[in-house]
Amino acid sequence: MLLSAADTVLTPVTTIDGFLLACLIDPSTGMILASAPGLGETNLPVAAAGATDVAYVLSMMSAKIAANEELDDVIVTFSNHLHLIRPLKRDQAQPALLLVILDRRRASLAMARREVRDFCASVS
Amino acid sequence: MTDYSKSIADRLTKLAAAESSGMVPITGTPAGAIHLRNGAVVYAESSRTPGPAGVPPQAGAPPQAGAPPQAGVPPQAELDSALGIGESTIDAALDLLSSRSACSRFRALTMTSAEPAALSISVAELLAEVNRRRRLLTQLAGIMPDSALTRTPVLEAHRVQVSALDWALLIRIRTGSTPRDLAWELGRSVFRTTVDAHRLVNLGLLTAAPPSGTRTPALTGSSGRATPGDDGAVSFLKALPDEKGTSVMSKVIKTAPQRRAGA
Repeated sequence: MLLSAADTVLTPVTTIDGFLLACLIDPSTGMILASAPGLGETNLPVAAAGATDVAYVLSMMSAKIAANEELDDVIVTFSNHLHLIRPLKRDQAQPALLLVILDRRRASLAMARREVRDFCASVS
Repeated sequence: MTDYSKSIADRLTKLAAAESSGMVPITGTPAGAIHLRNGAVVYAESSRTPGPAGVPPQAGAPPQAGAPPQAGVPPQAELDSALGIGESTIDAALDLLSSRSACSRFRALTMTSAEPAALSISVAELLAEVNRRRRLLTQLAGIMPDSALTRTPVLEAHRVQVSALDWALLIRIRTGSTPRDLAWELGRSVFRTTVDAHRLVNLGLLTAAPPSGTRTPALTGSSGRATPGDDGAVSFLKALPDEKGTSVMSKVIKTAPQRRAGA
């Protein structure tokens, strides 16, 4: 974590059922801005870089489709994990991307998605 | 890594090991300084990169953090301040470590303020992030911070959607504008502006010519100019260090219990 002062921002998402790991990423540079590691064994740099790649590709697709829409969230479902990716609608000069990884067996996708959405609204 | 940047990196590593506090002046082009507190980098400035928005650069006086955040309350201002200073510091460090500049005599300082610095990043983490950004820059098909950008006169696509930030960048492009010029104009980091410009090239909105007299990766376009679709998208996964490299997050990963063998 580069900016340890920012880690406390992520405290609310650590209470989501099935929480394993979360981080804030700068989508322009791919840098991890803040992180909240749980008990998971996920390689955070790889997960964060993958989430940034997904957001990058979707931003290119959205630009080319030109449907005048913005990305709300991305849900990636693995056999044991859920990856929730959601842009924070912050000041354009300081955009951020939230990645939350959950244990699929303990998480409720609908509840988790709602909690992530509420968290993003609270810090935007 | 060049001999020049290696000498700066070596100096920083030694100062970090000694938990030094003070400033490493960097002379040459660009000139700048890297500020340390107890061996950690708290600020860096370069003459060729913008400082954090709203924080005037003060040699020898890195920005201070505000009041400590209260538990359970998202410290928005704290976050914004840390992100702004963090990005400008890493941007400056990337510029200084990618140049032919050299370290001057270290100026030790006695810490008079008990207030925490807004940013505190270990030298190892800073160098790892700088190296990750270098690997990303090699993916940009010849678009460097000093590449001249030109708006594409005729769009190939019927229509394209751009963000407000993309638009702000596009409308500021004049003949010969570079990502570095635009970064100064917009008060953003040079690295971030360069990556954004690359995305706009891939969308067919810009073309880029390599800076003259600089060391740049070979261009893939037959005309010698970077053109849309030359190289596809940037991959942040590809920019991660190999297994022998140091990860920015190595400290956090090591604290995770029961790592799976070979993971």
